[in-house]
Amino acid sequence: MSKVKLLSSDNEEFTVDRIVAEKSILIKNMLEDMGEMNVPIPLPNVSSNVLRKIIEWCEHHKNDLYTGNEDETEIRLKKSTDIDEWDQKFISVDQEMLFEIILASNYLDIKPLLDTGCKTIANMIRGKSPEDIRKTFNIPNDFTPEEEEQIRKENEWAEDR
Amino acid sequence: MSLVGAGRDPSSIFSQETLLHIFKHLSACDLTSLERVSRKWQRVSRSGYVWRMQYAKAFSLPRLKRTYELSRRKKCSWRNLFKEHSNWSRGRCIERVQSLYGDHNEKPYFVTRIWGDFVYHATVSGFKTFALVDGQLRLKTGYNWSSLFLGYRLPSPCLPSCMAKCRNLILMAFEDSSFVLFRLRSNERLSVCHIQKLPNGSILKQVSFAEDYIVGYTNKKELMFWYVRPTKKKEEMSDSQVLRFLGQLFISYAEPVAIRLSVRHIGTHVFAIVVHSEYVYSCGWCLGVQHFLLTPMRFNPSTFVPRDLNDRVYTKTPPTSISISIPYILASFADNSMVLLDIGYVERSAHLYMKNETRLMGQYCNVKFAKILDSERIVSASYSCADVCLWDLCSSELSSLQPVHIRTSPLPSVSHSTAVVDLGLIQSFAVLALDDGRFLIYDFS
Repeated sequence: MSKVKLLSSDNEEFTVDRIVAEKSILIKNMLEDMGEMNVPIPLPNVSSNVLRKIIEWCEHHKNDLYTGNEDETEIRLKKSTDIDEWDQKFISVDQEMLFEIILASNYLDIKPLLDTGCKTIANMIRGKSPEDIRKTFNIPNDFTPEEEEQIRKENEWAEDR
Repeated sequence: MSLVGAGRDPSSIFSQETLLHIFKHLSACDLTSLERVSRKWQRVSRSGYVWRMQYAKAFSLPRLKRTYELSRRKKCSWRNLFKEHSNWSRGRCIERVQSLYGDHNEKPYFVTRIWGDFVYHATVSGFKTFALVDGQLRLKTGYNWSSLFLGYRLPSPCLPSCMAKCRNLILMAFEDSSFVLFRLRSNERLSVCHIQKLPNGSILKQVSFAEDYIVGYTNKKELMFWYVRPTKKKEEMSDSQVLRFLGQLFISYAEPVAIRLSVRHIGTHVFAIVVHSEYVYSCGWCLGVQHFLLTPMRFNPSTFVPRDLNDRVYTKTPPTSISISIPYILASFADNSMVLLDIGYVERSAHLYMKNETRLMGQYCNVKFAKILDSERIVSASYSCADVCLWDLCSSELSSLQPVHIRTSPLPSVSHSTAVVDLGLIQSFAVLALDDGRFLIYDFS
């Protein structure tokens, strides 16, 4: 099986199976463009510890089929909180790493991993009060108490849905 | 996983696209919480994309597509559409009663219809339009018959019998057999562009006017068809050029007649659909449907494929009202039920057929009036509005559909037979016009 070399932003080289690397649509397209040249692919937006994590995910999911066109029907059918067990363990990392994984999977164009990351953040938000959300992510509150109360009042209709 | 305290603001790290990807997994309640987190979060969580996803999750994709068509015309935000429609399916609304005539004991004579965003109200003295401003009907324009008919003979008696509207043309029929086409000009002025008297004392009792065709039903059980030639801007046509009479036919429907006409563009054709009550010996009452293919030169009866007589839903009493919103036909009955017909269409042979028939139960009282709206929602009301119900065809399987009751006691009224004559959705309001000059206005915003 052919191998591919990936170069992280801090110049660490990773050698992986081509099928693993091709989970990333970005790398897949690059490989197709490059042909048989066996030079390391530079990934200037991904550091080595994040890339290691991403490769771990791609190794595990290398045989998955992903249809790619997740449209609104699928959203309806699939429960958005559902993350498979292995992924859940995989994504149990600190917030900094979680953000890095999301940024990297967005850059590398690995949709299922991006999905998992986004769902994880959505799960961190779900059911929380605005104050709790601000605490979770260290977000400064730029509303006055009056403004916040005003928005709360306007949104009372949504409290049961 | 301990994340509290260590975090960074996702809205400063991620692109808007990624944020939306996160937000689409949340509920409406969560999204409205996000609006209070910070201004940036508020902006993203109010975006049309996430609310369109909410809409798709709560309703269905076909409904989403139809709503999209409507919203494009009316420029509503998906957030407001979701709010309004989910308030509707929960029956969350504020009721207001408004009367045009105060507390008179005598019922005034009038014809009221609701089209688009306006209420059209024709009386013995003239014709008025009302718009909804801050949840209240306000007079928009008023016209007197005597000034409208200046230079023409005034109908006598000047009692309007029915009306219809298509683009900027308003058709007004009178009890003296005459009918008039008024053109509504951009400066809100009305001018007569056609005036005609039907022969043999026939009076138009119901009329549908759409896609440049007029279909009328008279007191003598005639169906009449006209084609209205589209006129170019500024071009003034003489009377004879405006309307082309396509013909008429006599129909013998069972008495008492409940009938509803509708002109609709289906596929590549324009059809006139006539729904009427039908009595089947030893079975009972059911709905009959006829349709006519309309062309500028003629009308053609088209074959309608009914369901097997054994499969049909029969009732002991004739329908109290019929409404049409293709692909649905809805009829209300005095036995607390309604029947919803699902109509299919075969483009190749240009004919309609009955797909399904569902009986809708759940109303507490006799249903006097029911209307199905373009958005697959139904409002039904009993005499005196003692029971006003909302139905949402998307909320569950048709066979187990249950209404939401938004009014369960009769409206205080001088007459016990107060009934709804027309119904429309204006912005986020459902407006029910009653036959005593009152309006029930439900606010879903």
